[in-house]
Amino acid sequence: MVYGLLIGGIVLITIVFNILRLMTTPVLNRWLLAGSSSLVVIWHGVLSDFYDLHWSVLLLIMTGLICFHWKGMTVAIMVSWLLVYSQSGTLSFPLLLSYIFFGLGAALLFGYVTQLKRERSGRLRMLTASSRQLNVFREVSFTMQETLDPDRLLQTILTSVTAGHGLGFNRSIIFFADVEKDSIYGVMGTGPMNPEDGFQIWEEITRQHYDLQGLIDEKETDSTHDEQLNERIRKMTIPFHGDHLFKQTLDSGRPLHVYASITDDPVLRMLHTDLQMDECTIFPLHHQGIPYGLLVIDNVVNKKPITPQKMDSVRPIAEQASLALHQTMLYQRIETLALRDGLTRLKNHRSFEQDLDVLFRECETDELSLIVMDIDHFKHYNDTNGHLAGNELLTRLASVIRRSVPDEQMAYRFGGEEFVVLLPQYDEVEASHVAETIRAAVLGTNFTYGERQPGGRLTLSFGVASKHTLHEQSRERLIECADQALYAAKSRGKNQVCRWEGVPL
Amino acid sequence: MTEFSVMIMTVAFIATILFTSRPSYRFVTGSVANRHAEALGVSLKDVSFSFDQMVYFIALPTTIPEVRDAMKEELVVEPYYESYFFPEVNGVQVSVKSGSAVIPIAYLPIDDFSLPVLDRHLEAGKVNERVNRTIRAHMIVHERTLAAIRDEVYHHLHEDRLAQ
Repeated sequence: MVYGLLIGGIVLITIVFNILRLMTTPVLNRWLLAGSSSLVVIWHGVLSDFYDLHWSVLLLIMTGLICFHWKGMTVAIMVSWLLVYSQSGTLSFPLLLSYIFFGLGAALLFGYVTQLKRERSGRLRMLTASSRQLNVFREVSFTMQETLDPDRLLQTILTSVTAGHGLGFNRSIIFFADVEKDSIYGVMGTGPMNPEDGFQIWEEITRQHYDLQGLIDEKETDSTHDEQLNERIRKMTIPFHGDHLFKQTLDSGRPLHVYASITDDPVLRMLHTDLQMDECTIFPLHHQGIPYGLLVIDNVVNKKPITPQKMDSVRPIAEQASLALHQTMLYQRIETLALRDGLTRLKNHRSFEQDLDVLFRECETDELSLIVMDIDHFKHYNDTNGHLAGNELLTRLASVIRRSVPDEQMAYRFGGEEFVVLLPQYDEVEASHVAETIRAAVLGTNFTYGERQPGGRLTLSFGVASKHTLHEQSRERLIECADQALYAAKSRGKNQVCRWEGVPL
Repeated sequence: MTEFSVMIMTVAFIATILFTSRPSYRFVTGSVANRHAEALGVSLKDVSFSFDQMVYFIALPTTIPEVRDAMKEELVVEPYYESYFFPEVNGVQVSVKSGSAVIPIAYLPIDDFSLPVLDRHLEAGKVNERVNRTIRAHMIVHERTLAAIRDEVYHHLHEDRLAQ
């Protein structure tokens, strides 16, 4: 019965105090736990006439240690000793010594357990940070390997350091460096302009539950979130060889952690004014000594400090990004060499064949027209003025054509002095208008030695054919018909446009 | 009563604390979180949360048979507390128990458990850091969150396997 009362009372006191202490502040929580142990000791004393008080106060010493460490334990030892003295009337120093030894033993054990817990938490934190870095790095590497598209690559780099699935920074911006043009310019960014926008974007992302890959895809197809930021940063141009921290970061090859609000650096002042940027870190993007640009990160929304650990987590991504940018640019250069005409910089014959093939395959029902044009008396020009002048003429002519067509990516050097233009969605009449526009532009241009040509000026002849006028729908037939129209233009006196209309000309 | 009663007292006191502190913590954080959420005009049932900062300790796709073949019910999703005496949730851990071995799979630290609505109120100064932490703690140990985390982890383990 007495034991039942004892246990029941202890359980009741402990539960009530457990709930109460958790509703208070951390300090009061500790006081209430110590208080509950005192009440339990008193409850035990009431039921046993304080017969075993000298034993039961050990609970106070233990609780004092748990709640307030060494200080709490020391106070609890003194209080316990005095309590026993007040109850027994005997001042027992051996008892005090016993309490001290008990306290020391408990403190050693408690300290050991606390140390283990601290180490465990520390290891968990480190493991979490390392695993996160590894996860992001793995996903980013995968995405980077999958693409050679510069925009997707940039989006991947930016998303991997910002989004929830990434390293978690609020905003990141990439600047490209062009040493030849003495310029560092904003290319792409992701993140909000200000904290309010940040919360809206973050809520949207949270609702949609995107993963990193999904977020990269989403950002690529729907850039509305970053539109304002991108609009602003694309207007930013900084001289490469200026005296500013961007240049210093590129020169040193090391990340730079700065506060834009308290620096005199002109570039960071601009970022602070335009983008409300304050604490930020600038990472250089360079590979084999070639500077490609800079990655700037900040926490504009939650203002979380950028710790050295966080900076370290970005560095491998920045290095991987530099390598990927290097590869992409090499690929672009090779692609340019393979698909562009080295002299005129227009797309070449191979490129024309590929594009025509794609247009025929993917737009079977859509209209498509082709203009083939040829310089009149080009042999005469070469013979009279030399081949160097001929090359110069071709280059000049290419820029006239480029300016006169609806889409310069659809203008090609077909070979020799022959050029072609593909016009998707254009019928033969509309295509003839384009040809006339080019012809007029050529006539209006003052070419070197143009006056030495027959007729006193440089002219071109044009042949136009459209898909719907062909009896046989094939790309070979389209080229053939446009070619026939060109021959007709030549035979009718040159400097004119002829179009294929389904019957031999 | 003898010295034995002192032992009974000590054991009863410590055992009660150990067994009731975490349920009490969940009860208290729940009531405090609901009260503050109501004052803010936020319904905790409808609030969007994100656990996309969940960290996986294993490579995905994994070749560890116990993890690769684990059923959803075999995933153990539990809050991670640091202390029994002063319980405070630090995150949610996901593991697979295989016999006596426990294989950790993922961990979501509470600081990375995102509640944008709450962050917005914190930024606006409508809640303090302590209330923010309490609501966050209530949400992360909520059954709905734990079930969503279980689904998410299971989905990741199996989605990547299919992609192999």
